[in-house]
Amino acid sequence: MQEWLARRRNGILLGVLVFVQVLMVGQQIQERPIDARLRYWSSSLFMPFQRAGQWGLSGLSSVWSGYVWFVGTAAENRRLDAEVSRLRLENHYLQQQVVHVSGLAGLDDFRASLASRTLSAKVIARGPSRNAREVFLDRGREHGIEPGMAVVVPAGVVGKVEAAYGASSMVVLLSDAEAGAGVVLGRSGAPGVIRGTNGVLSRLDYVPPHVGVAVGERVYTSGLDGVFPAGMPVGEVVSVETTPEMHTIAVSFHADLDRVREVAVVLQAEHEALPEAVRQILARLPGPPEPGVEGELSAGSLEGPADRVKRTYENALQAQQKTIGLLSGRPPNFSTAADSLRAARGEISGAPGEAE
Amino acid sequence: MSAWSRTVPAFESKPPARVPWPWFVGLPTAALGLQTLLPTLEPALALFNLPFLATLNLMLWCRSAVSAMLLGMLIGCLHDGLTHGPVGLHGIVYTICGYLVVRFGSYVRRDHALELGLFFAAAYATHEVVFGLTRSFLVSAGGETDLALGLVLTALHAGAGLFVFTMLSKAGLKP
Repeated sequence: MQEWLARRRNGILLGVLVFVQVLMVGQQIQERPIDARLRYWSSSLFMPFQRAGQWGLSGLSSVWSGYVWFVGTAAENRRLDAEVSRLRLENHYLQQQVVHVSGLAGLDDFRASLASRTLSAKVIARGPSRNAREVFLDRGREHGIEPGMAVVVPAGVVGKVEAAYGASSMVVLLSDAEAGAGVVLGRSGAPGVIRGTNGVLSRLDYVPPHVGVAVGERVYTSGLDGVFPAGMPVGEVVSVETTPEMHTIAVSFHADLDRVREVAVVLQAEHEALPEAVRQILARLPGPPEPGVEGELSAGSLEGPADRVKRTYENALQAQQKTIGLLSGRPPNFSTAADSLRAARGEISGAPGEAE
Repeated sequence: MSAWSRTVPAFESKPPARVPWPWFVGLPTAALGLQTLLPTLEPALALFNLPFLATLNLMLWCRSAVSAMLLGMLIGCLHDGLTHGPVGLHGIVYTICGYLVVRFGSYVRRDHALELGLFFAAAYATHEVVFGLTRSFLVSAGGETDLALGLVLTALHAGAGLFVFTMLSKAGLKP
């Protein structure tokens, strides 16, 4: 036996180590965060070096591009001179039209233009996997960042803070397959949910099939997910396939999520103004009931079939003075409730015997 | 005793590793740090799996299955700690790779570039397959499979593995 164990020591150890890790993964999938401490250690170990490395690489890159790499500079200058002349003319014209958005050029101006309270942060690292859809910021809990906060850039939304450590935080990008956001379509105002696909494009789900969706239509956050403030640009519809049951809509993100360097973290969200077309559509929708008329709505007018079943069984329990979950005494008798439901179904179908 | 075990020398009969222990910790950790840093400059660099290449080389050097598996588990879990997925996914893959590398790495001639290159290619392909299977079984998250990209990446990692191996040899680490 000992000889057998000794000969298979490596295989047994492999089995034990894999089994332990499978248990670890299982625990985390059941939302018991035993990995939080390890993540905190990993982040604390790497992020100071990443911050220093990022600073060093940025410096090196600017020295290289500014002082060393002069190949083609003369030709580039000539081309840029011509480009500048053309752009000056174009700029003069465009300035008249885009005064209200000209302030969005930089992140600081962008932040100032937002109604939400935000904090600027730099991306200092990305996830180590090939399909990594997470980035690390140089701001963390010390700066007021909490998990669940939205992260945006002038071009559009970027993602959501997944974890906040001392001086850094992890953001899951909207392109991740597990990420999503509540959105509205810019032209029709129809709501939907945008989901990442781990690819360049994302998927727009739950748009009602009777709503017309056009390629090129812009998509904005709806604010209904409780994470992203309403009115932030998300992307643009690039393809639509429609069947009688559903739309299959692909959306490209406005923000270049692979190259994002500076972001704004929304510390306190305030909804932005939605496009005029969406606002007009929303204005036509029925609003909340006026004070004092709630009683009309709660009197059963909104009750569906499932609500009726639930109410019938609750009434049967009350009549027998039974409580669900208590093991004492005889179990409740639901045969009368079932009979009354059958009768109700008979009334709906118009012929009492049909439901049987 | 089976024919297999008669013809195959046991790992334990080989001389102990001649890799100083700081290499075991420092090299994969540095590779992991680089892996998170470089894609911020150029997203295409995320295609390389530097931590795996570093760990693979050290596993090839250390020759002890126990230390290779423990090293794999440690680096894999550190790798997972920098993602938002469950910790242990890469740990499982690196542990299995550690076992396989030491088990079959002893047959690879270290002075034969083609054999070494094929070995690195096989190791990378195994890593990808095991990771895909582990993820789909444990997390039910299937990724898109791009065979052409997978083959290109396997070839790239074979070359990069050879490069790292040569660099380590020049740094004085003798297998």
